[in-house]
Amino acid sequence: MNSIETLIKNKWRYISFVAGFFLFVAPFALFTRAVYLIVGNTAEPTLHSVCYRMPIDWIFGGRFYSIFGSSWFMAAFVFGVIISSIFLGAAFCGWLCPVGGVSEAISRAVPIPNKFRLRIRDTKLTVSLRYGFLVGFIIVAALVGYKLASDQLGSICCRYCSSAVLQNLASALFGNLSAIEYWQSGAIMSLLFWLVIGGLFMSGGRGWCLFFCPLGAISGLAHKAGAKLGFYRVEHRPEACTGCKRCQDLCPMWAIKQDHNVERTLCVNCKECVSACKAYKLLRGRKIADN
Amino acid sequence: MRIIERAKAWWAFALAASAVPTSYLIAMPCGGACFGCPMGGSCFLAYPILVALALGAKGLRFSRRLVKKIKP
Ligand code: SF4
Repeated sequence: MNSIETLIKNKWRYISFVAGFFLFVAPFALFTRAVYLIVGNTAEPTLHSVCYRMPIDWIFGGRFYSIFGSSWFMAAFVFGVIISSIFLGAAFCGWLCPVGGVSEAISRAVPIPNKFRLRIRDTKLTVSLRYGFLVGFIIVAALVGYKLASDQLGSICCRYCSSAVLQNLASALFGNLSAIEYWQSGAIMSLLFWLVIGGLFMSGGRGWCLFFCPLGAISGLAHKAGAKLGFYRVEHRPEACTGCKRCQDLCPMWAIKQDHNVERTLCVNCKECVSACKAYKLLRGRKIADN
Repeated sequence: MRIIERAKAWWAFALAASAVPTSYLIAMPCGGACFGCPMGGSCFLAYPILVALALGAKGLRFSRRLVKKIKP
């Protein structure tokens, strides 16, 4: 299946990513703007208003007062995404996240053959790396939060942040060049890993999401728990499988194992495999009991 | 075989878990302003070089396979 066919078959997902951009990224940030309007917050909404990392950093750093303070909306958003992953799979990552959407779009738009792109075939290894990085993030959050490291170190969140890179690129694109001083080494390295290495040179274009997004990693765990409880999940049906392994190349999250089963901590319920192959089926609610 | 696979997974986990604090501490002196640290901005080059090496290794494997196929 070529990329145009993939694009047409999954058009709702790509439309949803475009909507995600307008909903969360300034100067639009329509979702955040609407919430701010309702609660009477006069701040200018940006992608930072729904930072994917800070609430996680606060929890592991023991700064609970931040969660219940003025940044309650940011915390509510992040916990909302995690809780929704129990019931709907990591649908925010797979359908709405502008950061993942942009890197995936770039990877699909630039026709570099897959043989020149990096990919780990062993899902166990990918999972180990993903959760290793999450634990590393938690260690730094705890060190900094509990002041075992000096205050000058600052938070781990903003030093390497693809959301901030996207927001600053979008601001520049829409005429706000005032953030030029943002482009320091951490920002350029994040840009490099998010779009060039993780986007262009990793198969599926989701390198950043796979390894460096703590919200994605925790949502993956929530999805795994939800699937065990019988909520939304993608299932492989061996009886309909021809063993062609095309699904493994299509899956942007490298979630399909060598035996074709789905690794739930990686799957973002994007349904690329479901739309491409009869052997994958989306199961939810009562249908799971029928299975 | 299973033990080797497990060891590989744990090794990758430990490596990733330690890489984050290490890279955070290495980048500490520059505080986000490049060339300010003792490494003189070499971290800038480290990531692209690592990826280039990985891609190079992949390319090498690919060309070896190609040569094998072409050989009579
Ligand atoms: S397993 Fe299927 S639904 Fe899950 S991330 Fe991969 S392609 Fe998407």
